[in-house]
Amino acid sequence: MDDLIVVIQLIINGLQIGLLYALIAIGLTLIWGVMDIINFAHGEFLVIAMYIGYGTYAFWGICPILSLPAALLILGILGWLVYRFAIARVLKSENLLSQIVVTFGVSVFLQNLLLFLFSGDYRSIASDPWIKGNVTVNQLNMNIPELVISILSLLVILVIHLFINKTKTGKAILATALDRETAQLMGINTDRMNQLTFVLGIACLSISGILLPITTHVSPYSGFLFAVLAFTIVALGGFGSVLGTIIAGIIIGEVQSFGGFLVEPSYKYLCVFLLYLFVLVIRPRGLFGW
Amino acid sequence: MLGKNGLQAVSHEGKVMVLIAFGRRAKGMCNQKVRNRVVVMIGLISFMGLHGYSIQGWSQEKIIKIGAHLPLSGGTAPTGALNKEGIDFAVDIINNRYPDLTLPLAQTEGLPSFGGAKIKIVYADDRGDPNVAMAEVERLIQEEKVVAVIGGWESSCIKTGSLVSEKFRTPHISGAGSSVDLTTRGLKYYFRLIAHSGKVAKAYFDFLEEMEKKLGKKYNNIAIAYENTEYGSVANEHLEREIKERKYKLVASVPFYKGATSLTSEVQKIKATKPDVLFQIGYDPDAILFTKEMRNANFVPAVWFGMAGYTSPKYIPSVGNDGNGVLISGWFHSRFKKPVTLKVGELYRSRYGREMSIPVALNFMSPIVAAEAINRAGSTDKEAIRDALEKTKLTEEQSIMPGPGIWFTPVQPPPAHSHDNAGATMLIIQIIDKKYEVVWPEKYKTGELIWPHPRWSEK
Amino acid sequence: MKTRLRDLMLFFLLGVFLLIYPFVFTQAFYQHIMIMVFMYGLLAISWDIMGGYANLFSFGQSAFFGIGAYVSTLLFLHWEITPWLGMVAGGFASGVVGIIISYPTARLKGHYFAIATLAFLFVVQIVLENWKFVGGAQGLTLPLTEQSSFWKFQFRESKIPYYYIMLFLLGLGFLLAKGTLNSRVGYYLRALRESQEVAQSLGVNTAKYRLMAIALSGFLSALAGTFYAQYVLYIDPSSVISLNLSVEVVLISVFGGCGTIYGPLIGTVILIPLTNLIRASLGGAGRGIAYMVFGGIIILICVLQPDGLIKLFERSKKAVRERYDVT
Repeated sequence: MDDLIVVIQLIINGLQIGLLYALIAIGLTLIWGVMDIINFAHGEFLVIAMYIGYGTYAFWGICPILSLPAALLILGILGWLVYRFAIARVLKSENLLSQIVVTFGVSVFLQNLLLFLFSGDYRSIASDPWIKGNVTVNQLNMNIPELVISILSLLVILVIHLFINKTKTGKAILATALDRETAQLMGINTDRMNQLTFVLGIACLSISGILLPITTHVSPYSGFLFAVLAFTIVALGGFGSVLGTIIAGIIIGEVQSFGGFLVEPSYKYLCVFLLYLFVLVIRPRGLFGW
Repeated sequence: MLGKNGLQAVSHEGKVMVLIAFGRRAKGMCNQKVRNRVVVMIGLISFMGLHGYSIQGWSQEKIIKIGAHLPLSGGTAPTGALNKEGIDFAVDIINNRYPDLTLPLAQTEGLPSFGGAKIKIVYADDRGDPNVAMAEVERLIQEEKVVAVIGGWESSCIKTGSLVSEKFRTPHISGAGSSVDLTTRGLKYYFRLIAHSGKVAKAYFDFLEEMEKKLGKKYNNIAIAYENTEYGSVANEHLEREIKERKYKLVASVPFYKGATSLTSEVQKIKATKPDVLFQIGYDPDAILFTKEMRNANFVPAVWFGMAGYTSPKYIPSVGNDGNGVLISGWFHSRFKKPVTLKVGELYRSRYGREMSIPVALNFMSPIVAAEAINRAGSTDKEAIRDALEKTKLTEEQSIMPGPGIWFTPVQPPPAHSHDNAGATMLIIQIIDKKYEVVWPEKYKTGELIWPHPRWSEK
Repeated sequence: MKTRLRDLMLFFLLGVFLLIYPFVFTQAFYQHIMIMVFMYGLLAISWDIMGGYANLFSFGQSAFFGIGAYVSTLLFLHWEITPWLGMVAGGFASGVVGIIISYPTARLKGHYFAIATLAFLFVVQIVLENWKFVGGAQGLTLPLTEQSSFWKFQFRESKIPYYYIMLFLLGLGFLLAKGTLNSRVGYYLRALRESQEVAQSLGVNTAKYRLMAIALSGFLSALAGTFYAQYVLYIDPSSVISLNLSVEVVLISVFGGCGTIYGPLIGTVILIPLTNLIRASLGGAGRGIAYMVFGGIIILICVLQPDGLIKLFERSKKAVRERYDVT
């Protein structure tokens, strides 16, 4: 009976963290699907959101969720700026290498900007006024902050899915992703679609980012590992596919959860990467890729 | 256009650029190209100029130069800054008169054997990168012509830095650097002050055994979670050795990825083995995350030992009351009951407005030990300084660190320790009510031990 | 003809300058910078073979570097094999690993390939960190020899031997790269870069040439790795298998202009001294600033001049003419 409890606990943990990763990855997959660009600076945008969340708590002692509108705005504007001044021009130049490297440059720049502003110290929210505590059902523990984040992730992903598939703008984005030239012929302003998608992708990060300081540490380096996992999820699930992202996210979460428990935990990331490489061999476009 | 030094610095880049540019056809280029080239050249010039202006002349007063390499930029820069504070603070005490401190050279201004010559520290940034450390220590020795080298925070940087010092036969004293193998290399010019990880491990178990005797209980099952880079794996090895020698039982050994995004599985794994004692070894992010995950899993052992990250100034602010009860084997505490420590701690507080932390204290003694040896040698000849260091004998009251003083083991072939500080001693510190208190050894106590570890509901 | 003569003269002057440099700039710090320039130059060239010519953008260069360092160090520590032979062994080991990697990644393109190399890098790093035989996270330390020794590849008194050795290695790498790329292999690689499908339809064995590019790239990077091990005398997974190193190599090459062997070299010559000097002059205040500038420069290059700095000098560079000669 004990063993069963442990297994279910591991499944729950994997699910929670998988949904969090999926939310982080969803922006990445949209950006790729529409623009063919991998945003290597994704982790750094997440960290900016984390600092906003942490700052809300540190300065005013209130729950970070209240800063969601501000975070959305700040990240939206930042995303727009980066798109306008770095990415748009690179897209036009059609130079594949630049497209890969420019977001790397943004990543290096942002990470060191944060290092300069906030130093390399690690911070975390000691005790959030609203979101805290545990729920214990039958010896199974569920941590409230993580629960909240996973539920939010699910909601946001659902909203995005509906947006893409049911609204006019969403369908325009979808069209641009599927076939850019035809979309242009149909009168869709593909540049605006690019812009919108990028900003949307970055804005998604603000939702996961502001609550993360409750459960983990914040530093200029914190985004890196999340970003690497996000790439793996997007590549695994298939670039451009929302469904693929959720499923891949959950898979990665479970692999991490069980891998860390059954195998030596320092190998758990190894399991994740090996799984990815393995899938690549079989299905290079990922599970659900376009 | 550039200062003379700057010109020398840029001449090789400049020559390359000129040679290549020489091939250019003359004017009539399109704007984009001109703009780009100008941007690049301006960037280059401004940075070369910066370098040129950074070279300063030395003042004329009698000084003795000691070099120090520290992580002044990059991820560990905040700790590097604290190290620097410790060194500067000690140098101030050496160079000026502090009659009521029992530290060597405190009563005098500067070094008496040299007619009051002052110590000047030349700093170099090793960025926490062993490759950079190597280059910087060489620069300190060859160009700045320092008579000794101190400093370093990351063991990997001290490893490469001390090899360079050995190459150039320069005394090298590190106040930090707990990796055991730093002193098992049989080096003749390297000296270490800090208690290495083996001694740290021993202290935990000496304390545990004492408690077991006092309470008449046995805490046999031990779990260790350690971050799997150098620091963690070495510390783990030594803990495992103690476990074997003292006949405890290792029920879980859980290495984890430093800076991981999630430690849930690790905690689950440990919880499943129901240990009495838990060791968690990790830097700041891991200590913080681990503590949170322990709360999520609603799990505490009877004894929770934390290493490294738990003494970081960021730990308690990041976990609040969740950290209460954790026991740490610490190298220093600003108020442990030794008269000279309390006096120095008070002086530091009045000057810097906060408590003396471990990075400050560890590096505090190294310039003092170096200067004391130089003074005793009466010469700036590096061999003489090295010989004097070997004969160093500081008493309990001459060192702010816990323990009977400072003296070094002789040079011996590996695996014995060469020039390791035989007097280095650990304190056991507990987090009580969001504050650090010394609970062991008895004579240094500042607070009453809480035992066993409080439940989550009690924190 | 006139251009040819002038180019030759330039190269000659450059060669002389490089040869006398350590005697003009006798301070160890400046010699160190040039040694680093040479080392990164070799890494950049090896990256360019994959990235610039075969369109295989790899973030895993550091893995090859590390494999080279580890193989030669292990051979020396356990069987006292001279690092010179160890270097060659390391090169072959890297080449073999590269070949093994190229199979599962054969069908990957562009971004997918890049991410796969990222995963590959982490796999190598994690494996080495947990493998006790290679020292695990504690790394391997090379013993200090009493005297300088050519066979043991260690020189105590000065950096000058290291300078010439690295220069020699760079020259070797440069010649090997140029030789390969000027031959039929290079011709096929460029065809591959323009369009893999078209090349295949014309009967070019793309898999074979892809493999060759990766193997050569791995070989050269491993040479640099062995040099590093002998220079620093201490290696551990986080310093030799590091994403930072890989990224630096990519950024340098892109800055200079990939697809030409000269581009990455120019990128190295400018950026490596730049970052070293910024660090030296700003010291502690430079917390992050040096790399912020680095990042900013990269963004500027990608936005303003995506073909790299080399485009600026195209009129005086034979290599660039070569590049556009493919049609």
